[in-house]
Amino acid sequence: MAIEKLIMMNVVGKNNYVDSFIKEILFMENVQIVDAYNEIDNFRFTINVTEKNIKEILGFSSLESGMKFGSSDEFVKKLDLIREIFGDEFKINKKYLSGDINLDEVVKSVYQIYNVLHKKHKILKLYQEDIKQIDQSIKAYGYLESAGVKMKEINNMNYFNYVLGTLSKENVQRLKRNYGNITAIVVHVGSDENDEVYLVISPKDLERETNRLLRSLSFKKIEGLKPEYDKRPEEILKWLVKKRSDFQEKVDILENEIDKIKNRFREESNYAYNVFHLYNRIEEIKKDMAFSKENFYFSGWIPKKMKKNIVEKLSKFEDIIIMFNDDTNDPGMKPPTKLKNNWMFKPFEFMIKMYGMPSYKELDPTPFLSLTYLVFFGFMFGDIGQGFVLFLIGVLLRLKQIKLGSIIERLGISSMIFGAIYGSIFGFETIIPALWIKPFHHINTVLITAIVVGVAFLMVGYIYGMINSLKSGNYSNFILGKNGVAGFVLYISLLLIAVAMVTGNRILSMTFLVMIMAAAAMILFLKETISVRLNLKGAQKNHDQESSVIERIFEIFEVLLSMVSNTLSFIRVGAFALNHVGLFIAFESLAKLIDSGIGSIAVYIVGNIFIIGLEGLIVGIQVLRLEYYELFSKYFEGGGIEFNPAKL
Amino acid sequence: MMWSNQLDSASAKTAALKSYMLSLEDFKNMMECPNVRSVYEYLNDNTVYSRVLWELKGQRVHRGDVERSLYKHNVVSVEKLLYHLNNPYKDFIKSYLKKYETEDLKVVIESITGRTKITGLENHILSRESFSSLDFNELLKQDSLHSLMDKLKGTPYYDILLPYTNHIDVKFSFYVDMVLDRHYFNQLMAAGKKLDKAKDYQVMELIGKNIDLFNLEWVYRAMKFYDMSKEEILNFVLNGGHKYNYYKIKDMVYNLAPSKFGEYFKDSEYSFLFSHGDDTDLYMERRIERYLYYKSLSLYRNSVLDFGKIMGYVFLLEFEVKDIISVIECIRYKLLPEEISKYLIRTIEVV
Repeated sequence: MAIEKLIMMNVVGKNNYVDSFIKEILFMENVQIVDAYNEIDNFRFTINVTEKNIKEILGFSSLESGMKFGSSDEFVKKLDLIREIFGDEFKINKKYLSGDINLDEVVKSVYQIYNVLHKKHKILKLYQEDIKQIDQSIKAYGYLESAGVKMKEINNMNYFNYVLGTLSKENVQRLKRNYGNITAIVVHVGSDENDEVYLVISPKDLERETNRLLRSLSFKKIEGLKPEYDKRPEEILKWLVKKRSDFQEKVDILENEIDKIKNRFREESNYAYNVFHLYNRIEEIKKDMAFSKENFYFSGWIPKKMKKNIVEKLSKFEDIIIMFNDDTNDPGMKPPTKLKNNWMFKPFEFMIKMYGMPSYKELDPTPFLSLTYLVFFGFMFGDIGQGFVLFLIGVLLRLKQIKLGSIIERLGISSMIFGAIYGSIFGFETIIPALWIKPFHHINTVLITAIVVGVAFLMVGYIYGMINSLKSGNYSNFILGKNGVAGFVLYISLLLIAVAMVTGNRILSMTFLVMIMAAAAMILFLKETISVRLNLKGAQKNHDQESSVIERIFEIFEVLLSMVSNTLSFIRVGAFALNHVGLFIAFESLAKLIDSGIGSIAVYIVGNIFIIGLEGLIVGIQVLRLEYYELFSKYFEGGGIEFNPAKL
Repeated sequence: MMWSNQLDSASAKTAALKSYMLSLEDFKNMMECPNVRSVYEYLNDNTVYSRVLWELKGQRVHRGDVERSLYKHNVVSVEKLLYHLNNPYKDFIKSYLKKYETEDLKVVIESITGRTKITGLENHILSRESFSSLDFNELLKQDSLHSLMDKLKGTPYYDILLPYTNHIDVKFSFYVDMVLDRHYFNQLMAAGKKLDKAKDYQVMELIGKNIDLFNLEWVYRAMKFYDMSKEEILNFVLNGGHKYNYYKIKDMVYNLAPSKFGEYFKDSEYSFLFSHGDDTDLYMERRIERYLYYKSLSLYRNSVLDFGKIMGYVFLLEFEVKDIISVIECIRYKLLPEEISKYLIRTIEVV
C-alpha cells in the first residue's frame, strides 16, 4: 500500500550469452530498462576494482552503444509472407518460448513452411488478380451489350480509336454545351453510380486533341476492353462469366489446400513467429545496452523486494557481475513510480493516474483517495437497493474488461452500507429502520456531519502534505508553507475560533487563538525571507524573495479564503444525501398521483433508473471534484513516471 | 426578432477587426524601411500583426515565414467572425475559407509528387479545423500519391483528382491546379445560392465579377500563350460569371483573336483589363486586384449592418496581406518607394 521501493540494477556480462540474458529479463516482466550508455556516461554505472574485474573495467574505454544492432534478413521476408497467409492468427505467448530455443531449427522450419506454401500462394494471387480483371471486363462489356456489333469490327478500325469511360454530371454539361466543336463521336451507354458512362470514338489523326480534351473534362477511363476479344459483346460476356466461374473453382481448391497446409503447420509457424518476435524485442533492448568487445553492460530499475529473486535467476550466467545502486538522492536518478496496492484499493489507481502519476518520493495517495471516495459516495448515495444495482453493473462492466467496473462495484457496496445506516431501500424509507438517522428528518445533523467528516479528511490531507514535503527534503515548505506546519496551525486555530463563535464553547481563550492565528499568518507572509535566513533546504533564492508585499498580502488572503471555501465545500456531501431522498420523494408523489397499480410501479422503476443513472453520475463527479480540488491541492505533487517493465 | 438582427454582433465584430487594419501611414512607413528586417520590426512594434509575428522574434527573418504568418493572421481574423454568424452566412464564410484548404492540398500534392522540397511543410499549412475537415498532418505523412488518395476517400477531392492520378506527366500539376480551383469556385457559388438574393446580391455580384475577371484573364492568356485547343480552354472556364457567362465567352473564344480583346471591351466595365498597350500582359493581375480592392472598399463603406460589410472586410484584409507581402518583396530588391507603389494593389501617392 505504498509506492514500491525500486533500485537500479547494473549488470556486466559476457557477450556470448547476451541473448539468453535479455530473454530472462523479458520473462521476469519486472525490469524497466534504462539506457546503460547514459548511466555509464554519468558515472553511475561503477564497478569496484578487483583483480577479477579488471577486464570488464578495461572494457569501459572501448564501449559502444548498442544502437548499431539492427535486423534484416531473407528470413524476415519469408516469415512476413507466412504471416500474410495466416492473417492475424498468431499469438504472442511466453509459454511457447520457455524452453531452450534452437534457432537453426526455427529457421529451417520457416524455410520448409515457406517452400510448401509460397508457390501455391503465388498461384492463388495470380488467379485472384485474373478474376479481378475479368470482373472489370464484364463490367465494361456490359455497357456495350446492346451495341449489336462484333467487337472485331470496332477493334480493327483503320482511322478511328475508341475508349470507354465516365464523366461527372458537371462535365457532361460542359461537353454538351460545346458538342458542335468536338472532334469525336460521344455515345452515352449507361451510368455508373454518380457518373455517366460514354463511349468516345475519334479519328486517329486527332488523337492528341481528343485526349487532351478528355483530360480537361476529367474523363475517367474504364479498363477492361481488350483488343483480342473480337466477338459480339453479349458472347464475350457469356464467355467471361464462364471463365470467371472456372477460375473461382480453382481458387476455391487452392484455398482449400492452403487451409490444410495452414492447419498442419499452425503451431510450428506460430512458434517461429514467437521466436522471431522475441529476437526482435531482444534487438530493441540491445539499443539501450552498451557493448565492448567481450562484455555487455545493462541497466534497469527493479522492485527492491525482487532483488534476491532476480539475482538468483541471473547468477546462472557465468562471470556475471550484478550491482545495485539505491542512492535515490542523486538528482540525476529519477526512479519510476510503481504503485502497489491491495485488491481493495487497486482499481482506484486509475483515478490517480487520470490526474497524474505520483512522484517516486511521495506517499501513495491511493488508499486515502479510495477510502474518502467510498465514504463520500456512500454518504451521498446511500441506498441498499440502488447500491446493489450499482454493484451488479460494476460486476458486469468488470467482466467486460472495462476498468471503471471494479470501481463502480466497490461504490455499490459502500452505497449499500450507507443505505443500511439510513434505512433506505430503493428509495423507500419506511421498510427498514435506520441504524443512525433518516437524512431528511435531521437535515442539520447531516449537513454538519458532512463538514465534520470533511474537516477530518482535510486534516489527513495536511498531514499527507507535510510528510511529502519532509520526504522530498523541502523543509521550507514543511515548516513554513501553506500546506505545512504553519498552514496547518493556521487552519486549526481558524477552526477553533469558528467553533467557539458558533457554540460558545471555548476550549482555549479567544485572544490566545487569535494570537496564534496572527502569528501563523505572519510566518506564511514572511516564508521566503525566513527560509533564506535560516538557509532551509527548498528555499527559492533570489526568486520569490523579491515578490512585492502586495503580492504576498493577496497570497495570504487567498490562503485564508481557500481554507474557508474548501471546508464549506464539504457541505455538498450532506446536501447530496438530502437531494438523493428529495429526488425520490418527487417520484413518489408522481406515483401517488397516478394511483394505479401498474402505473405507479412503472413510475417507481423509472424513478429508480433515473436516480441511479443521473444522480449516480453527478455524485461520482462531485466526489472526484472534492478529491482533485479540495484534497489533492493539499498534498499531491505528481510528475512521476510510471514503472513500465520490459515485456515480451 | 432573432432573424432580423442576426448580423448585429458580426457587424460589430467586423468593425472592431477593421479598426486593426493598417493605415495609409503604415504603408508609407513600411515603404521607407531600408531592409526586410526593419519592415518586420515595424509590423511587430506598431501593428496587429505582432500577434502572429512575435513567434519569429529573435530568429533570422525569413520572407517565407513572415508571409505565412501574415496569412495566418488573415485566416484567424476571418475565423473569429464565424463565432458571430449563423447559417447560411457561416457556411458561406467557411466555403470562402476553403481557398486555403485548396492551396494547402496543392502543396501536399506537390510535395508528394516531388515537385517541391520544403522542410517543415506542416508549418505551412493554413487550414484550420473550423473550416477544413482534412487532417493535413496525416496527409503530409503519405509518401505516394496512391496512399494520399486513399486518405482523401470520402472527401470531394477524391473524385475530382482520381481521373488524373494514374497518369502523371508534365501537365499533371496544371490539371490539379485547374480542377481544384474550379471545385473551389463551384462550392463557393453553391454556398452563395443559399444567401438572401435580395439582401446579399452585392456580395455575390462582387464574386461574380471576380470570376468574370479570372475567366477573361484565363481565356486571353491561354489563347495568346498556351498551346491549347479552344475546346480545352473553354472547359476550364469557371461558372458563375456576373456579366460574361459561358456562352458569351464561347463566342469570344471562337470569334476573337487576343489582339482584338482591347477593342471588344472598350466600352465595358472591364475595359481597364486590356487597355494598357504594351503593359497589358504585365500588370494584368494587379489591375484585377486593384479593381476588386476598390469594389470591396465601396462594398464595405456602403453596407450598413448587412453581410456586404462583413465580406467587404474579408476581401480587404486579404488585399492588405498581399500588399504587405509586395512591400517586403520590393524592399528585398531594394526598390524605391515610388517604384514600390507600382506593385501595390492600393494606390499610394508617393511625393
